[in-house]
Amino acid sequence: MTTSDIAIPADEPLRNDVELLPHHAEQFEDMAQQRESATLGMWVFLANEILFFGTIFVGFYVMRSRFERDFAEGARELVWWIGCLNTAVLLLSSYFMASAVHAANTGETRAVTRRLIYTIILALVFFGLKMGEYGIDWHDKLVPLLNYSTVSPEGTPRGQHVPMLLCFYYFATLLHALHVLIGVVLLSIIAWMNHRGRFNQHYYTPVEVAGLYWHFVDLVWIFLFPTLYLLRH
Amino acid sequence: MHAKEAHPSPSPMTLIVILVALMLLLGLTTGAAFIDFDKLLHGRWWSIGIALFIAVLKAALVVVFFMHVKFGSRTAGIFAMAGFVWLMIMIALMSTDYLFR
Repeated sequence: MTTSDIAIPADEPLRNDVELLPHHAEQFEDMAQQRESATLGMWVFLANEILFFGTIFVGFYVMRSRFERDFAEGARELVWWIGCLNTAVLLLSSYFMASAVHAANTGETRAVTRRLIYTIILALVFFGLKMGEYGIDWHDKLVPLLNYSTVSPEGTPRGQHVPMLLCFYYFATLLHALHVLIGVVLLSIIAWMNHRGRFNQHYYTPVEVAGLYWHFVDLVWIFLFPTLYLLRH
Repeated sequence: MHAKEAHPSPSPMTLIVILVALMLLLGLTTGAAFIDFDKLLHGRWWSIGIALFIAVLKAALVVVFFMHVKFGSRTAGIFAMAGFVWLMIMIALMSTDYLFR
């Protein structure tokens, strides 16, 4: 979209060239202030999210310090390689998100749409792998209350507190998966808007703010992966 | 159509370097999980410490480069820090209870 695409009412005289640029909402002084306000707003929301997920992590580590042996045993039963693969998938999607924002910054609108689509595809791959992993967990009778066995598939008895680790595992990963799905919807809308020419080099704040959200989803997983899968001893 | 950047941001090369670094750290932390550092180094917190240290490194790379904290305004940086600082306060206050019972 070029500056000439922006409609200016004929009866309104032009005051200066600024009128030709994408305009900001009236409560803001200029585009820069509007952009910064949006970014700050997203960070305030993310600060909430950090504390929201933070409580789960704190609870986990407190309980782990009490029932170390059972938590390590439970972690060994989880499918670590899917967790690892999913971390790589999310890191890659975060990279594409960052490069989409970069493309928006340099005005390469088509590249923005393409990279957003890569990001969305990788998010769906993550989700698919996670669902497959839940299937394996179900098969191994690792779902407390619904399908749980006190004996592992290898025939060794499971520790008394393994279900506690599993409750943390399901609560944290399902909550994270919900964030992934919200991200897919959000990024799809942004990709569509971008495709329709709603953003340009001077105004792409929604792409940037959606990117912040997506990187946060990656950030949570960066901590969930070692916490749930890697504390095996 | 390689127009000039409208806002300061990391270059495409920087983004690739960060991605490679993140993948290497992922390999490192996964590999480290198969070594029992607690037994090796006679301590209780080595495994958790190593896993979380690498996670913090990865998170820092994402926050600073992918989330543009290095390139944005200082106010945005402060807002970004706020969430983590409050989390640290929560962890510190919780620890005074659980670590010293």
